[in-house]
Amino acid sequence: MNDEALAAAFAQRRPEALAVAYDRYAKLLYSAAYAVLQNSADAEDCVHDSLLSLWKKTRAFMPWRGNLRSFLVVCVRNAAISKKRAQVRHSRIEDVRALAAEEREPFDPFEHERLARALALLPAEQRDPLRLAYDEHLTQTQIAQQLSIPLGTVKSRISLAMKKLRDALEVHHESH
Amino acid sequence: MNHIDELAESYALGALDDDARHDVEQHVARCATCATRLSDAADVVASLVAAGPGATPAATLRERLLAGTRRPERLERIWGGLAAAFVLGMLVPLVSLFWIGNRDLRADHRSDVVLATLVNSHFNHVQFNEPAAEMPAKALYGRHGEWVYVIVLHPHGTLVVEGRSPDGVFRPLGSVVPQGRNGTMFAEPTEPVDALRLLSDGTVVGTAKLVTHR
Repeated sequence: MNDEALAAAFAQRRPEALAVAYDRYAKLLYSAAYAVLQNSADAEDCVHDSLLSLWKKTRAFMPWRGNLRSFLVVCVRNAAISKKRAQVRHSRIEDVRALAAEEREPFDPFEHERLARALALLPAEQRDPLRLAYDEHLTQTQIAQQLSIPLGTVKSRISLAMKKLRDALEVHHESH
Repeated sequence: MNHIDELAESYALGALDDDARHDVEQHVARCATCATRLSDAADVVASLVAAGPGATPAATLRERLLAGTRRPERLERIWGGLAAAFVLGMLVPLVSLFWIGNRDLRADHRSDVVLATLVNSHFNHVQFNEPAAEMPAKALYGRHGEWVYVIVLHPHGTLVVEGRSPDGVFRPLGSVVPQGRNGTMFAEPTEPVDALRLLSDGTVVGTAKLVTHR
């Protein structure tokens, strides 16, 4: 089943589609959750709860919404960020830094290399809010406070940074 | 909410609070333009994740996930059976009314699909409000707009049904296929539609507004 057929089957909630989607994307989704939560049990719960919730919800995903892989990554990652924010609010977060120090290989070394090149090309004023959002999981408002810039500026700089990254990745695809 | 604009990238990055995130999700469910922008941003986030450290979940997660889908499925079958019995009780007289006089009652594959969809769905119905008096038409549609079934009595000319997409543009859903003295059209739109219009040889002869639950 190719990605397009899988997306259609997932949208129709065909019984085999969840298993195929899990087999295809589980490591990426778990990596997304783990990168935020830094705890294997929480990351597994996050992947489990997110996928099950999407699966049970009619029309949660439709093929016209775009790529299923990217859609699932964002859903799982956003759920992980919500969970982490709740943990922080309730002071339940454990020794995150110690866990984060664990050495792990990039999920995709090739992707790691080309993203690193693309990120290095961004001006600092765009890279900083992007990093605070992606790595530190701050909200737009928190980023504005931390960088002492207006909220509207945060939105536009993040937007611009993301578009530049996308352009850089597309240029790379075209060169192959 | 107007278009989400720059919120698309912040949503994909996880930089929105829960309320703003909810607003974005509600909007993109019915706006193809914003869904495309969000999808572009999601592709970048997927690349960022793929470039980061990899981790492997425990083997038990797969079984736990799939087990979580089985129990509700059993419950859904029970509810589905009850719902099917109820819907059939409502549907048989309705379909009989529309198909009366149709001498060809063969249940071909297409009508099997239509009937299975009707029986297994919660649906609404609406009368087209402007068709010529001698050509009344009605639309049955899934409550989430996931399918549309149009029935036209005594159709004449080439009839086409169009649906209005989130961008406000009407796009063809299908042609009305003659079935005896009546005609039907069944479609599962790839985008949600909130209105229908019926065209006879290119002229609008009927319109209907759909009330869907999102």
